[in-house]
Amino acid sequence: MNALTQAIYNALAADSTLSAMLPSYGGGPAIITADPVPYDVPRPYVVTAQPLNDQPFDGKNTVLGHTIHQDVRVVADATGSSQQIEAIAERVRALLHRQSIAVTGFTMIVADVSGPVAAPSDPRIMMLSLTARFVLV
Amino acid sequence: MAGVITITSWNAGALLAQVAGGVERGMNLAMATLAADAARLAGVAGGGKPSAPGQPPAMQSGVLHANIDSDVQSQSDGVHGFFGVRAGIPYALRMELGFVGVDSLGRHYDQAPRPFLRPALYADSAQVVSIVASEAQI
Repeated sequence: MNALTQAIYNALAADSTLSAMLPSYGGGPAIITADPVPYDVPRPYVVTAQPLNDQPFDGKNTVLGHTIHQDVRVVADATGSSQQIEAIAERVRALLHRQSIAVTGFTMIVADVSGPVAAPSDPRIMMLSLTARFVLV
Repeated sequence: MAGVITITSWNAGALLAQVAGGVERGMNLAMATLAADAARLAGVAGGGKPSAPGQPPAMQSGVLHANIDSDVQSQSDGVHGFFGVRAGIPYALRMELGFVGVDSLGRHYDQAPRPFLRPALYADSAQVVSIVASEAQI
């Protein structure tokens, strides 16, 4: 797990409100940090695995920092109501948007979150995807 | 009076039309750049093997790659640029965002995203602004 994914996991897993919304998996809340997600993970779960894009910005001789986009997806059973999955997605957004989370080896300058948008799923399952942008130096 | 310039003719209409034309031209170039970059990301032959989760999709049949396109629409509220995959390629969105569940053919998926559109946009966003500004001469 890279440092940013670990930091996102730490920020989400430490929140008792989000943890109460998720079932347990592997000794903690069902927050997964690898793709593909194991089949035995109970829904609803949150998954964030790797950056969509890592764009370094350079000084004359060195990399000054990185702009990184990373998806955080929320997957839940389709129950006829989107209340649960939207509440989870909103909590994820609140925990990341404009928050300063500790990333080992970096200082976080910017964190903002767009979405959620509905991602493809079958009629039994709902999936929302948020995209977080982090500027790290 | 020294130092005072009197404007006798202000061709705002012509100036605005020139800028609007430049923006539209720039947007066409910018969207074509994004589409080309997305096609490049999705254009690496996979030889029947999928790409790693999180990486752009490996090219198998070439259908997805061939259907990445761009469009620009000039409307009363502005010039709108689009790039993406043409309609009729249902798995394109699955590649970009992932898919969990059973598809219409009864196949079970827990498919991780293999994004190729947003990485192109994020990587080229500064270039998009630069192209449009350059063509609009602003």
